Amino acid sequence: MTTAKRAYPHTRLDHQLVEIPASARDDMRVAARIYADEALWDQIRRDRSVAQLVNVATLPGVESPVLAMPDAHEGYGFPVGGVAAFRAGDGVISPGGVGYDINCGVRLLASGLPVTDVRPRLSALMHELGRSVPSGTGRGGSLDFDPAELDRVLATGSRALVCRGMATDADLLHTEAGGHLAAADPGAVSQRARQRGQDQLGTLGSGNHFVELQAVDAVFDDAAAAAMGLRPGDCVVLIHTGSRGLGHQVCTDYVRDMDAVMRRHDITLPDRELACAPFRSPEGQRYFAAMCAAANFAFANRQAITHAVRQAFARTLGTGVGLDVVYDVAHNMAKLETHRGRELVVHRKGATRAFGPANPETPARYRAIGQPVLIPGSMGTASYVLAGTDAALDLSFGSCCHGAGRAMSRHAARAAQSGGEVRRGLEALGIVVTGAGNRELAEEAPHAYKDVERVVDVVHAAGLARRVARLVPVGVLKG
Amino acid sequence: MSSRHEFIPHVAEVAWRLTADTVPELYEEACVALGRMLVAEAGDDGPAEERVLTFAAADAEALLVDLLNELIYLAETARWAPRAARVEHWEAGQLTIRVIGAWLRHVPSRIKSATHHGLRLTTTPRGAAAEVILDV
Repeated sequence: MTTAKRAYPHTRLDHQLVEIPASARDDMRVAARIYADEALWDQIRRDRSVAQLVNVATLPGVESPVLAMPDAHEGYGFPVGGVAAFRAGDGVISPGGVGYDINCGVRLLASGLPVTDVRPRLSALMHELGRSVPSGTGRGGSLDFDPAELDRVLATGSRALVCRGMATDADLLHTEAGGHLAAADPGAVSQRARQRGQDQLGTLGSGNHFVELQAVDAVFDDAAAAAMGLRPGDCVVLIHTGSRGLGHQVCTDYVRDMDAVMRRHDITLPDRELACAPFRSPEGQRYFAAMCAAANFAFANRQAITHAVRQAFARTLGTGVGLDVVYDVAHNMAKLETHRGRELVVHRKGATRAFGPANPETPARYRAIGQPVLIPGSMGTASYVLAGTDAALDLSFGSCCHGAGRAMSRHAARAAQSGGEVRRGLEALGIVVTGAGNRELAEEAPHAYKDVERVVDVVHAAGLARRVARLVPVGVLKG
Repeated sequence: MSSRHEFIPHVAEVAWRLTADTVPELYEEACVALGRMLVAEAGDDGPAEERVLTFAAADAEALLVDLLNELIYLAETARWAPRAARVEHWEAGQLTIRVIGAWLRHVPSRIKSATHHGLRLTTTPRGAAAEVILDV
């Protein structure tokens, strides 16, 4: 297996960056770069992340370099935390390079309410959130969408919820791509995928998905924090979920399709999960259209959850709470973007955009500071808000990391600490946890993840994004 | 050698090593392994109908992934999980398998897909083996 753990020759370029030269393996077309300090590099090379990144460097039409973010860990095909750009003209698109949970992403809501005003009603609010946002096993959504409405969601994303009173124009303005990818074609989404997604709009799902109430614990950049509506001590809400079963089925369908046509396109791979097709081929275009439709479903999912969260706040705390969308970013996506004067298909798998002030896609509200970059920590640890930089365009195709990144397998996490112990530990910190069973809590425990402080330090020091605010958890609804 | 499956380390996902005397028995073991995970998550709600599933794919590895993905789809959309299985027909790129089912008490959400990552299905005089990673 080419993805076996192996030591590749590498050079440390600076305190935050390691390079594996294109000569490290015969089939590499470009170099691989890993943003990591020594401690993170030691963690990252313990699993198969580096071998997976080297595999990505072999794909046709890849632009130099392929990248791993400081939260990288092994995935399937691409590593999680991987960024790779392919020339639209002669490069490929790979469903495995996007991942199964298409447009898994995070959204931050600012309440403008001091967390001290929320604490007395915290248990009631978390209970209400648990009732309003279905999560985990066996919880379908309460939204009823007929096939025509589902088509509208797939075609227009969050926009489809405006007419239902579940989204505002301001929400759309502060969502990546306006919550709507125009290249979507609902016709490219299979009946199976629709069936899996049928009652899942407005649901969290399971795994590492969550709705978390947090407090703004520290502000590092006053002007940027003010532009984002973040004040020290304020209560904010972070939502993490994606395209649910619909997105997974889209990926499953197209990995299978591309696996079947690669020989025709004369593509050989070191790992079958990297199944891909030329971006301009009929297969590549059809996957791109389906992926965009699944991404629209995910944008609408986070929007529907936003609506439910607003209702839960209103029922518990009164109707005066605004809950403005600060920003919504995608983690798993392939985007057609222009970098270095070339049209590139930028794959971000477990990585986000981090566009700076000069980028025309940065919303007007953030043109002076750069787009908000949201980096959730694990349960019980801090999350961070950063601002994108123009320098990131050269450094990382305008990309940044998406979280702390797993450091431990689920099995090892369960063996290290029981779910009950994790729950008691969180409660001792004053964090109310709801929705998750002990197994899920054990698997998602803080010790299963890398140190988010170190990850953010690397991002900030490398210039991929700059630190704006630190958020600490107050209440967690786990998927 | 009797059929069996074991979990192998993966940082983020679930990975299995399946072993059996023959390739058809390996497919049967994959059904049992997945069924146990589904029932552990979503609860057993009693016996369900048998289903005969037919697949065509490029090779034995792709058949294994297709089989698992079909079972994941059925679990999520019909609350139906495999309890036991018997291969009725297997040859290059073709698989027909009869699967005895169990109803699930809830819709499962933990296991999302079977992947092709690092997938190897090997046969030796001692039997058949495969490693497969499930996206969770």
